[in-house]
Amino acid sequence: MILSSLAAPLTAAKADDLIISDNGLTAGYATLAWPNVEGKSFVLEENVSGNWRPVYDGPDRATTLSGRADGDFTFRLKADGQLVGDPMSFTVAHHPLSRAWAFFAVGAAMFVALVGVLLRGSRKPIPQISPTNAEQ
Amino acid sequence: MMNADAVLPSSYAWLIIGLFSLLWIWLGWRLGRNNDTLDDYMLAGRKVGIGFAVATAMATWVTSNTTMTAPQLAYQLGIWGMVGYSLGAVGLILFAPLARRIREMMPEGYTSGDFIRLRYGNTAWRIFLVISFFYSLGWLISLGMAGGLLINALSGIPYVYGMTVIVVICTLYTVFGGLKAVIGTDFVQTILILLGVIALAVLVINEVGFDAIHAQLETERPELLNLLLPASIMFLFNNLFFGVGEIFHSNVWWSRAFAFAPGVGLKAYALAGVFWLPIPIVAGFIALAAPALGINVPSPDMVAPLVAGKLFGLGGAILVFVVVFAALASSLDSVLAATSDLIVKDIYKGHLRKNASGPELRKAAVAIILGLGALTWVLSVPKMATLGSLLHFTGAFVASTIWPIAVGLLFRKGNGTLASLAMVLGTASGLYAYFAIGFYVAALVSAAVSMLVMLFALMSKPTFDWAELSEARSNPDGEVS
Repeated sequence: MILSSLAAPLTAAKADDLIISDNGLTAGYATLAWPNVEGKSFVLEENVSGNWRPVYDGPDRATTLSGRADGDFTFRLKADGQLVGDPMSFTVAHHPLSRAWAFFAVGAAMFVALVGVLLRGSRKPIPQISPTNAEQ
Repeated sequence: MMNADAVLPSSYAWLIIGLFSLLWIWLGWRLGRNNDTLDDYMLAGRKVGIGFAVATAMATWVTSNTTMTAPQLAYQLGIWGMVGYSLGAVGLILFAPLARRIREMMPEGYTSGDFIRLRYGNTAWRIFLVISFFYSLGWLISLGMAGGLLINALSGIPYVYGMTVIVVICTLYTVFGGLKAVIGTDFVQTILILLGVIALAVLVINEVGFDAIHAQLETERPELLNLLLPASIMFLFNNLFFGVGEIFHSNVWWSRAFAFAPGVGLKAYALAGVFWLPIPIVAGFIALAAPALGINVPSPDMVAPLVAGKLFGLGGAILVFVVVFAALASSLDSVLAATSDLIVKDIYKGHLRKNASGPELRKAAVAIILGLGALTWVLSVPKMATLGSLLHFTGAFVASTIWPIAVGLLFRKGNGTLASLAMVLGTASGLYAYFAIGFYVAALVSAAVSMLVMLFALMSKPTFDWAELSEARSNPDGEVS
């Protein structure tokens, strides 16, 4: 039941079109897929300053983009040389650095606390408990 | 996801699968044939020495997630993605002193559930069992999926076929040999993994080179080189606590602590952690070569086998195939065995058949391993998520157990109510963070909320009597009481 909720990111937003199958836009990555588009050879193009530049050319039905900076990105798909549907756009918006450092600080503080607890607790002698001892 | 770049002929892939399957099953039968008691079957007679102990801890922790998810995270989150993944080693190192304590305090214990029940009572025990079972299932599914993805990426064999073979083979040899077979095969698999990963790293550096990799990343995917990439910074400690949560709570690691001979656990876990540390960095580095090689990555969890196949052709594909197949098998068998132990001891005997005898429990263990194998197969067929997102989803659950386990093992402070609250609130907040922020903070948030609750335990008076743990014991014939 809970596991099935994980299926959501892989569900096509719109059939027979270009979709985001793995959405990590706040981390600068996304997998673009076209699982239901008919054709044998595909070209994925990105609009860069008004010009369409090929990002992928081949028979696969998905490609993973990563390492993107903040910004708007537009793509279109060709199947066997023919344009498929309308171009699709998405926006990469990384988390603010202040939020990232806040999580980092929580993690670092908790790590120090855990090591401290383990060191303090481990210094104590280990209680020797056996069934025999317990019965005495 | 289809893969048009498969370099390994399917006949070769089936041959390798066949040969290794025969080897694992033969080893399982051979190592398990002298299992007389439940202790032998579930805990390898409780006398595993240092060599096998280090190997099994390391091989189990080098999973398909290390060899396939670490590259995925490098490809998605860059430099800190692979470094963050390597912080999973901290879990093994921090567990080392606890393993010694567990072995000495509960010399006849069987499962992590034993401890939670005796330390915190029935409510916390049942919450813990749900968390642990859910985590184990997630791990099993990720392993089954990784098997299918690997075989598909390298040979083009359909995902479902490859996944089915992996799950069936591992289930069979775990049934035959119990934990002794698992630890024995882990030893062989560790050697294969270490040699294979080192060979791949050397080949990548020689064939592509640091300069070419760096130049291509800088042009095409600059944020992967950004040491201030926000999501990566958030991910660093998340992965550390995910690893700590996995190891502190899971019966995979507790059953080894019980199975290792006295005095072995501390050294074995510390050494395994140190040896494991560089492996995700090496595996992740391989993924960063993908852009320089012009490789299309249809699914980010397929990046490592795709790079190896493209770079080294048939030989590289075979090498990766063997390494990941060994990593997969060494973890899948361990999780099957340990989860079966937990179900046998804590659910079957603890809830359903309180007077079950040793032979009955052994039969139940076999049936449960087969059932878990079948369940893993059913849930792996739909390929519900990428490996990374599936794996880190379970992080929200397991990280909530870190503080209840640590405090409960080391101090006489804290009770079942606080431990239960820590696990429930930690898990709930971790799940919220997973969906609201991203997979890379779920474990961190879960552990932090759990810690806040357990602070009340640390501030309370010590009330627990260690002698209550003595109830975890077995009779002379190995029957659990």
